[in-house]
Amino acid sequence: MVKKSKNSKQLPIYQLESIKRYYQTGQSQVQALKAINLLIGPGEFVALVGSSGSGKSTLMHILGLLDRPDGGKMFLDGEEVSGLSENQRARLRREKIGFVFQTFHLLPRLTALENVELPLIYNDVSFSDRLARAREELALVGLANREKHLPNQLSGGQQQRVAIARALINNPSVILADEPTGNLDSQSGEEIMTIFKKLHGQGRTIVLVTHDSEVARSAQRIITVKDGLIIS
Amino acid sequence: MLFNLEIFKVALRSLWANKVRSFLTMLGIIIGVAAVITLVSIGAGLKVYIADQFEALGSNLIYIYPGDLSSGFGERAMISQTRLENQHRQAIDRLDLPIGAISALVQIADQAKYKENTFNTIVFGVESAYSQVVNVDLEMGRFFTESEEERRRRVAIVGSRVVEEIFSGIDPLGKSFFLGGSAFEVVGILEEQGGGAMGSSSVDDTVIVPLKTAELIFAQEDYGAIIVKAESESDIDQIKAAIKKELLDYFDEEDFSVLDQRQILNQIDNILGMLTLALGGIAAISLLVGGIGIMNIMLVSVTERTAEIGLRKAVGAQNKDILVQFIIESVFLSIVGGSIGVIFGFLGSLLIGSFLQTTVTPWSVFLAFSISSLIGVVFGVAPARKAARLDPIEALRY
Repeated sequence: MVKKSKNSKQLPIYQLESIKRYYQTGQSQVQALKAINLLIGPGEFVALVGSSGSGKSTLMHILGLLDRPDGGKMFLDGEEVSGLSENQRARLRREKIGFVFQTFHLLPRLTALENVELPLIYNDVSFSDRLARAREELALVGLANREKHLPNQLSGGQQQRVAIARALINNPSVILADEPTGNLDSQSGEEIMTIFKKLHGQGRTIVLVTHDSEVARSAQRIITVKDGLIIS
Repeated sequence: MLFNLEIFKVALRSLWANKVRSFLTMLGIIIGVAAVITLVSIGAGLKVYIADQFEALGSNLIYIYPGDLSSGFGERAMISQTRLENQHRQAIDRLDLPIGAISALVQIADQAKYKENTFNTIVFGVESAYSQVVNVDLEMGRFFTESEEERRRRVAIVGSRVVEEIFSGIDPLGKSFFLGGSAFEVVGILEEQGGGAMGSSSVDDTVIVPLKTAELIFAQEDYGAIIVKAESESDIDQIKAAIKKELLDYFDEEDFSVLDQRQILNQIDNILGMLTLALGGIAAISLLVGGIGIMNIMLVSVTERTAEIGLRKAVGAQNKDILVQFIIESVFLSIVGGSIGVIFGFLGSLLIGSFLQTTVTPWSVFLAFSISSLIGVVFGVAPARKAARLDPIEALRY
């Protein structure tokens, strides 16, 4: 669990120092991230914007501890994470990061409730605790009456709300949302953005990746990535 | 923690979600395990059957065979040119040994014919004392007498199958039938013994005639064996040694064999043991194929569930959690398949047991089951590793 101690209030959630990421494509080396310096404080609602190929997805993967930088240092909640092993990163993903994806990524054979409690099964949480917490999170996104529904019985907006509940279940330090409205009609998209704004209002730290400037405007701070660099 | 009940449930749920596929995958293991158990039970049953038949002959028997049988009934025995003849029979007679009874034996494959009916039988030409050497249980009639043998009478004691096949329905006692071009009178009928596993001949298929008659009719003068019944078990070793010593005057050591029942049984056991192993081994190949089937399906399953694996990793599953999930799936398939296979193996051996003698051996059940479980682990590892090593970023793009 994240301890909201006085200390962590002062520490930034993310502190990136000269983060680099290269890809080798054949003979040539592509610099996806050239030297990213970034500070995201607790409670911030940040939008990462940039065109396709700008490096924002790579940055998102590094922030989400799904990918490792080739150079530089990254601190998450004050802890240096760029050199961690795969297992340690898995543990941090579980404890500190909640993901929301464009395509929801709900497991099709699990009910809404089971999808929400999924992260907890890797956390040794007891069955009754899991159930109670998953019910609570599902209710918070307004789906208390959809617990037993399978993903294909839910609308796109509802599926994304299930995914948000799943992201919140471990009370993460940060929510990383990758184009969360990209697969939704505008009305559902607005509903989702309303939830994010509400979460921000509750003091959650949110990093939103989008290419949609309309969506980005909901955020408190917009960071534009271009050619592997932060330009504003 | 390596074993997590939740991960176990996750694995079972995905198997359950693909019920038909899971069952078909298990089928390979089911058939493999059932085949091993059933085939081994046939081999083991044959062993028990032969031992029973052998013991039914009586006890304290010593067999003298031409050729060297000490290394099994193998090639050397088959190509032996040694002839065991009347002079050797007489040489044994001259020894002063505690022998109860003795009989030489010739063996001829021939066709028995009565009216239009024919039957391929094994003709045993034996001495009148044969009935004192081994147990000859008669259903009806009598054994032939010494004087009938001396006068080379054409009398025969026939097995129950011979009666069935050529005398169908008629009382054969006193009837004449043809054997080797001569008419023989039926004086006795052997009690039915049953068995005769997998085309092997049984006492029921035989005809017993006087030795001297057989020598005359079939022009066969060398013996298939000389059988000696010791007066008591304690005399067996002494008699064997004395006969061996005497026959060395006629043969080289490797040209004849003097064996007691136990030795013969041991050798038959060895041969059947190898046969059983071979049968089990062939069946085990299907187990291997079943294991490859599991691996194949698990690999397909990993590919299909790439997005799921990516998501699980994103929400914090470690590589070992994914590894364990997929190994549980394959182990479960093979253990459940193995268990069902054991049941079918018992049923199969029961079914075959209605016409052949079968004995389910605990070691074959244990072996088949543990091999199938092992297969689940071994063939589950490659797909599970593939799953565990998936890059979550790539996996989430699916």
